[in-house]
Amino acid sequence: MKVSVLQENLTQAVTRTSRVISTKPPLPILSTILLLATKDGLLLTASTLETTESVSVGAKIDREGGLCVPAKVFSELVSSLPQDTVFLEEKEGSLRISCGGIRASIAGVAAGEFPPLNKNEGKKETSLDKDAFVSVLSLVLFAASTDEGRPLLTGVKIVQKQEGALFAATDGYRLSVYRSGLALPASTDVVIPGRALGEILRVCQEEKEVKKVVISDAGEGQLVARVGDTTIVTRRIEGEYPNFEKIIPAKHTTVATIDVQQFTRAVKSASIFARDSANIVRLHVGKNSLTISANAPQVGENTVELDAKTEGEEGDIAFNSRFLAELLSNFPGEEVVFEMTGSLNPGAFRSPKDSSFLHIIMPVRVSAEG
Amino acid sequence: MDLEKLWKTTLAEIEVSVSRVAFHTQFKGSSLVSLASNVATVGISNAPLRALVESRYYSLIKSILDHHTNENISLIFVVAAKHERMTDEDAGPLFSSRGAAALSSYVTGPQDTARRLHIRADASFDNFAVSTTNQLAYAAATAVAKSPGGAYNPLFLYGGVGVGKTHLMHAVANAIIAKKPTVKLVYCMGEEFTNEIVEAIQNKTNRQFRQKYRSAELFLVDDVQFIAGKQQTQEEFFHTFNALHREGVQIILTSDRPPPEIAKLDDRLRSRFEGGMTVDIAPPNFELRVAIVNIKSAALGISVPSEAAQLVAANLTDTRAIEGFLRKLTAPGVGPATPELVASLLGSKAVVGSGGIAKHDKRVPAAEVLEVVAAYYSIKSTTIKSPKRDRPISRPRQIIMYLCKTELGLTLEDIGGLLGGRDHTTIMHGVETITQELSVNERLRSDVEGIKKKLWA
Repeated sequence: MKVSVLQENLTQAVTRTSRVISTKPPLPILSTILLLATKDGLLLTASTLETTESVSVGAKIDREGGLCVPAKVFSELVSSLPQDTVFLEEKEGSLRISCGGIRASIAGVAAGEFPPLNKNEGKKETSLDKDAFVSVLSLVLFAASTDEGRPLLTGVKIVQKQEGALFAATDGYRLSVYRSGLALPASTDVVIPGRALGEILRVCQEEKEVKKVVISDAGEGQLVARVGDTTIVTRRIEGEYPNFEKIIPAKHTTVATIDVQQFTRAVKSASIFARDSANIVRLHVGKNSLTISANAPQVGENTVELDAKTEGEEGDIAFNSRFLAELLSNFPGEEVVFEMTGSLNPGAFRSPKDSSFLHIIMPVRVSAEG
Repeated sequence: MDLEKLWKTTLAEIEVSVSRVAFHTQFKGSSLVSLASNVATVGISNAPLRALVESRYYSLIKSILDHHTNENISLIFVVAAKHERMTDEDAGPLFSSRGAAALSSYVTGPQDTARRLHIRADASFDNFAVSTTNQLAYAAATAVAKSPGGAYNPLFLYGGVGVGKTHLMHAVANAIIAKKPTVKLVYCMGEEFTNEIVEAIQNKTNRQFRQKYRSAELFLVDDVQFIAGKQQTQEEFFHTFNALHREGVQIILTSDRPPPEIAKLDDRLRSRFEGGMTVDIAPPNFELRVAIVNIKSAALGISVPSEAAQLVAANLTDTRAIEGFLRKLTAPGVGPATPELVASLLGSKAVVGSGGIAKHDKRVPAAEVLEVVAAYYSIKSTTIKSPKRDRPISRPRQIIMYLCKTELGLTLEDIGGLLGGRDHTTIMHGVETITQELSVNERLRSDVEGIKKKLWA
């Protein structure tokens, strides 16, 4: 392998691919980046077996070939190089790097040791509007669990319904559902690891100029997402996702419409006091007002009263402030509609104009005297 | 040969030839999907892994399968992802029906009751070997099983690892459940009790928590020492204890040390723990260990001749290690447990001592054992090799002999050479001394454990 490539292009590709590498790779080869020079260009790939990310970089290829190099050393070295052309050459199992006056050589591993790359040829591709995809993911993804003990909940459920693709994620305490207008192949019904989707989301946000995300099925339970020059391959999580439709409350007795910015600020100040008492903040829906309060026996207490348009009965409910904060920081629009039925049933949050997004949070049970 | 068994044997052989981490990453969740007309289909949990395993291990797996089936097998690798399942209960509070009545029905049989309450069904008085070291504890436990809430309340059992505290406690529970399957039994670890309190405080479910514990008719707490040093936990435990004790509910506690020695334990709890019967279970002596070998081997369905049983008992001090060792004898392909076989298995590295039969990943040179032991006792390694024979030097020297012999499997002559040209009979004596001392000397045991940890952890 012998290639020359611009330092800034290489840095971006290295930083991006090395993001997927786990902190404790189970196999030594999974801590490396595979450099592959073909007539199409230079391809950098890193993998966790679950998720594989490849970035192709425009480069001048003098000799084709490939090599795996330790990701950490390589990425640190590349980012320390001056903004100039970088010459990479494989010689006797190591990678020679020269750029400006700097020369380095890194011991590598043969390219054949790397988990074989997916050859995604002739499969049907679906292309989605990137901005729509980003807005769906950012509203759903944060509700997925990070607990590896319940693998299904670490994923996002994606189902193609008649009216469009439905995205759902839950960690057992909260649920995000988005009925999007995106069109996926008709039979789509999968659970995709949240971590891989998080990476796709991040790449989408970085690639400002790209307009489309291209999704395709790679067979063997694998799914491919392509954003510009970056390709992410991830496995599906097989299994039966919990039936979330049945826990969506059908009716409610109390409704409040609140300004998102004010609500966010109120939750933030309440959470200062909630920190020492299991993050519990209390909500009271009164006549045209919403009161948010928290107290910690050792620290003190605070109360914020907001103006709100209310309907139905008055009501009291308590939530984990972290769940509220995470929802509000991602919430689109200026107003949020909050619906509840008594203090023990899940509370629902939605947008006043747009019925496509729904978020449900399980309340914390609080004894009356406390 | 059935597929599952064949694959298990194959995996066991692969495990020997690859590193542990690599094995777990690459073969976790793998299976033999089918084997027909000399084509074996191997299922691997995900796609990149399938390709990796196919390219790296094709010939290894083929040769193992060929060997076992005496055929010329070709392999096909497919992706067979694990199908995850979860109940609504597992999915979290949002999905589980709220307010489900805890401790629902008690109409099931004793076995079911026991299993539901995490009581080991195989722990009974019948399969508990009794000797001088645990006679008192056994007598007290049987008395409690006969008349719960009677004279010995609370019954406080303490002793080291694997002496049978939990076995006795479960035996009492099983005896009582057998008599009265509907008994409301609460069994928890000291640690769990703490966790439940934290949870109750967080979720404001103190009332349910109290209800669960204070309605018990038999209250068992394993490893109660873990509540020490936790203020609120101790207070809650104190009130629970009082409420139950007042009602005449039998309470059984186990700990690794007697109440006065549990650091940071409230005085009022300490005095209550000592208010009933406090019994020490000493580590099993040689005769008792022989009896344990006999009972356990009978339970596992293997026959171990008495000479072999004595060999096992002499070399393994921990009952769990004994059980592990006996399990090894049940493995397919291991012949009848003759004294020679037992001796050779014991003689192989890493069997002796309380470390169980886990294989050491790391090969440690004898010189390193010398260095580590010397460092552990803060003496120079040259002093160890010197002819001096005072106790502070001879003891570490004997530990080196013991470790080199049992863990590294060196010959007596080699060890003698390592330690400054000592005679092989000296080494033999040293190994024997430590082997004997280990079962009686707690201090020595912890020293040897510490050294092993430094060497192999």
